[in-house]
Amino acid sequence: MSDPESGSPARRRLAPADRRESLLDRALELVAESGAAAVTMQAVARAAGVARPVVYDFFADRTALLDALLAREETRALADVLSVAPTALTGADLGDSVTRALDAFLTLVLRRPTTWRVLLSPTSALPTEVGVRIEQGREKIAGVVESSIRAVLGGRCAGLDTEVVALAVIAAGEAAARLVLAAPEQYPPARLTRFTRTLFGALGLTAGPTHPAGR
Amino acid sequence: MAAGRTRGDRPKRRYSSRLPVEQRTEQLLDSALRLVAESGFGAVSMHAVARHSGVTRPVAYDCFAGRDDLLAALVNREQARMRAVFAGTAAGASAAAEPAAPDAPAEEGARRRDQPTETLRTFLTAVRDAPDTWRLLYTPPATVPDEPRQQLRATRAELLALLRTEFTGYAEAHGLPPDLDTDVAVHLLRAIVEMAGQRVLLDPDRYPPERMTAALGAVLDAFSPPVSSP
Repeated sequence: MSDPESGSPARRRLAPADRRESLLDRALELVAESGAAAVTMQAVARAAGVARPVVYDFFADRTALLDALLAREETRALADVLSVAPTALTGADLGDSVTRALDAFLTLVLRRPTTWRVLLSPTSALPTEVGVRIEQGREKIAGVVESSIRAVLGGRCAGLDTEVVALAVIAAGEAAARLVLAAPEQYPPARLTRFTRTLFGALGLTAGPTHPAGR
Repeated sequence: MAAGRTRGDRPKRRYSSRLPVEQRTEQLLDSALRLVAESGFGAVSMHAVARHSGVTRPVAYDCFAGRDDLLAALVNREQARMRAVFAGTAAGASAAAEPAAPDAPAEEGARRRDQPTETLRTFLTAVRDAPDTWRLLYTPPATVPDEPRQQLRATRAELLALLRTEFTGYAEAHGLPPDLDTDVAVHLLRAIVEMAGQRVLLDPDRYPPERMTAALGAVLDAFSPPVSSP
């Protein structure tokens, strides 16, 4: 695995898999600093301290590199989100479930701010294939969120269009993440969780999944 | 009236000279809007717009000084259309109207409770009926030239203001606690409304305005606290 079959002029000897990861790390930093447009083969090579052909050993072109980056970040993010879903099920009631899930989600977002900044940027600013990939990631997450909603609401979701409700939950979650990422001092996670707690408390939805439906 | 606008002395022009300037201007703007919707602002040039309208470039230059002028006129027109929709929503109307008389609270309360759903329906129906217009709001800012970008930002700010009015009315009608964070509420609400609009744009067959309105309205109903009915 550590035998490089190409005579790449890499400055330090890294196993190919490690080299690939490190190139993607540099690309992610570039995106974070200056946006996806800053990611060129040249810029990534320079940031990694290698010659440009080394980058071409791993990625056919810029789009392939961005695609690989997005694939990696999306896998990480998806794993993050999947780990949040069970949190929602531990809530004492609906408001508690929502607040716990939001808190867990925002904690993960702040642990990988760059990843989330990239995934939450307007998709058409990125190459089309990448935008499509992000949309596919959203679809997967939508499925997970929808089953969590069904699990948390139980009988109360009868008659609810849970697919659309899941989309709304995701939209709100993304908006919360954008606020936290864009202005962490103005919008700390605690401000957002206080909001859901107050809202659900005021709406009388703290009585738990067994609380009878409105009518 | 039309006779004064024609330029019959220019030979070999297809039907290009026969429209009055006002109509020609509208036609060119329609073409520009289509081009933006299909391929972004970068696709708009005087040449591309003229070709899309089936006229020669000089005809386009009779109506607009150049690309910047055309884009400014386009965004002005579309902004006015979006504003008209905002003004036609229940929240827009009540924001413009005199404050309600204090002695009609019951009807006022009922009206306000249905209001968010009605506003959403109005918005999503407008999106379905004029998708190219509303797609402008979803154009990534980085791809929009400076001046139109600022105009579109202003329009998004107006949508946010509309939702703030909407939320405040809803909060009052439901007796939501005054310490509920309005800024957070409005940002999350905007994300949900924009998501609904985007779904209508992307796939109106699967996500028609009626479905989005019903689904989100049902959530609002479920959220209505029992104390709100007197």
